[in-house]
Amino acid sequence: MGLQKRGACRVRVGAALLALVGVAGCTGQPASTSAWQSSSERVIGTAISGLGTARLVVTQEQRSRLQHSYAVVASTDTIDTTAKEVSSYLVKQPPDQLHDAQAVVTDALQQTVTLLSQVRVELASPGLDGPAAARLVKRIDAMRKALEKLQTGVTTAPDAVGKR
Amino acid sequence: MKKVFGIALGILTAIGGFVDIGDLVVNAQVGARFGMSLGLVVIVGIIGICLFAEMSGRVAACSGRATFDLVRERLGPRVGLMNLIASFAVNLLTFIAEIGGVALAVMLVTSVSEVLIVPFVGLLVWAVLWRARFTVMENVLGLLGLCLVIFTVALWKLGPSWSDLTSQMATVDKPASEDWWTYAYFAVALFGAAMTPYEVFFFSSGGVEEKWTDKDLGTMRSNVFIGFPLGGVLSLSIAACAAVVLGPLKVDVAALSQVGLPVAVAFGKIGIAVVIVGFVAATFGAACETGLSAGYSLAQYFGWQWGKFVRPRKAAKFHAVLILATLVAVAVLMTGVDPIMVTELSVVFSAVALPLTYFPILVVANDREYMGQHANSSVTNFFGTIYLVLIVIAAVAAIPLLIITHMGAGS
Repeated sequence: MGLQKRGACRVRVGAALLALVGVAGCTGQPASTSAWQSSSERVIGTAISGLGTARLVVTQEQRSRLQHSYAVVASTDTIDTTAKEVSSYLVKQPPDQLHDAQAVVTDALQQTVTLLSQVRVELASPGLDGPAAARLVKRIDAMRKALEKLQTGVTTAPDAVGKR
Repeated sequence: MKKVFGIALGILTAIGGFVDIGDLVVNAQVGARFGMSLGLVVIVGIIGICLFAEMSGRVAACSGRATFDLVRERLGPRVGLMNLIASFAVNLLTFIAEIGGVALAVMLVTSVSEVLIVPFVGLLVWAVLWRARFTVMENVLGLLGLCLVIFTVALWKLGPSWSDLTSQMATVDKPASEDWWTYAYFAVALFGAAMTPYEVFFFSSGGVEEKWTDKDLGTMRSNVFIGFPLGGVLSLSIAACAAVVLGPLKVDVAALSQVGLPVAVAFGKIGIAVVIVGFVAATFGAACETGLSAGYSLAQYFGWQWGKFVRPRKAAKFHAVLILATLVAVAVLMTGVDPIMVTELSVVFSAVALPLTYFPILVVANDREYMGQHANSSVTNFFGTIYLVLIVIAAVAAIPLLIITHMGAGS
């Protein structure tokens, strides 16, 4: 009986240890600088791609060269793809010295998703007129430029990103 | 006159039926990211599919029997089983991708989520496989697939620098922003997309369905050697359109909606309407072909009665496989899995399965007992062997490259 109890206790301790190891494995270990650079560069690339698609959709829709439903689906696809990449980026732990840089990248990505979502909203209803399209294209271009600059910063001098 | 019409129809359906969801997605992805620098891989892939499709068509015409049937008999049940497992798995994955592709194409018109469209597509595909006559299915969908020619016309209308596109193809160099691992990954994916195993099985089994004899060899060869390369021109046009319109905006293609955008730039709403018909026809046609190929492969290996030339009641197990495959495909897609991701996986795993699919065809096509005077010539064997080496290299490299590059995202 005693042996049985001890055996059950060992099983419980073993299970607890296994769970602990599992939980420890799930908590974010800081990434190396190069891994962080590579994942940041990739997610910024996805955001730039999303903005490129949005720009194309807005300009074609404004010239009445796209079916309304196609334009809406294309802009929704763009949000889906970008948001998925951004959300998986957000749960990664940056290296300790790059917390500020991570905050800057995250902020830019969130602004991109917000802009893409605004594009979709304006496309879906009531549709785009000339001035609205021009305004959106201007904002998209500015955001693209900022992201490209950020991407270069992340690649060449990650420590300097976010430090003014 | 009737023969000329038959040949022309065969060529047209071969062109229209050449492109599937894998070709659409991978060619657009590659064009947008690498320009035309991987164009030669498409050409190598097209020559390869022509070589092996001709072999399997010749096997069907000369022996009156389809590939799996002979592979098991000639190479024994073990090799046959390996061939079956590899081909069936890739077939099923491609079938799932094609049904997802149809749903994505319909979504472009309706704005309804693809998950809600998938069951209806599954039902429609099954109904066509159950009821439609083989030739009607092949010809109607193949001819509608010709709408994708609009990519070639759009490319001309976009007025690219032809010398630039040609020099990109000739120099085989990657853009500075990409690494060689990713370049190699997309080379393997393009090769896998061009040489998808189902095309060969469908082609040879279709030959048996249509009761080809050695008198039909000329027609079969014209379909393969004219239709397939012209279908390949469509693949290259998709890549070139993406290179011209999406490349400068640094767009990374991750959705079917992005593939059609260059056509909108060239032709506006009419172009988009045509391209959507082309998307639906190409993916629906390929869904029917892959669905049938799943049934063909199992039925031919186990010696069941198969085909659309017999009544469903006489080929009950064959039709049960078609129903099950459709249910599996619908169930997988209803989980919300991204059909584009399934497509990317299917072309890479196609590359992995290539040796197990194409080596047995080469062996059977050399067997004079089945082929008589139509066995492979030494020239065909020379090229077949070279391609087997290429195929093995692609198969070995596919999975490591998939892991290293995070499915092409970059290493």
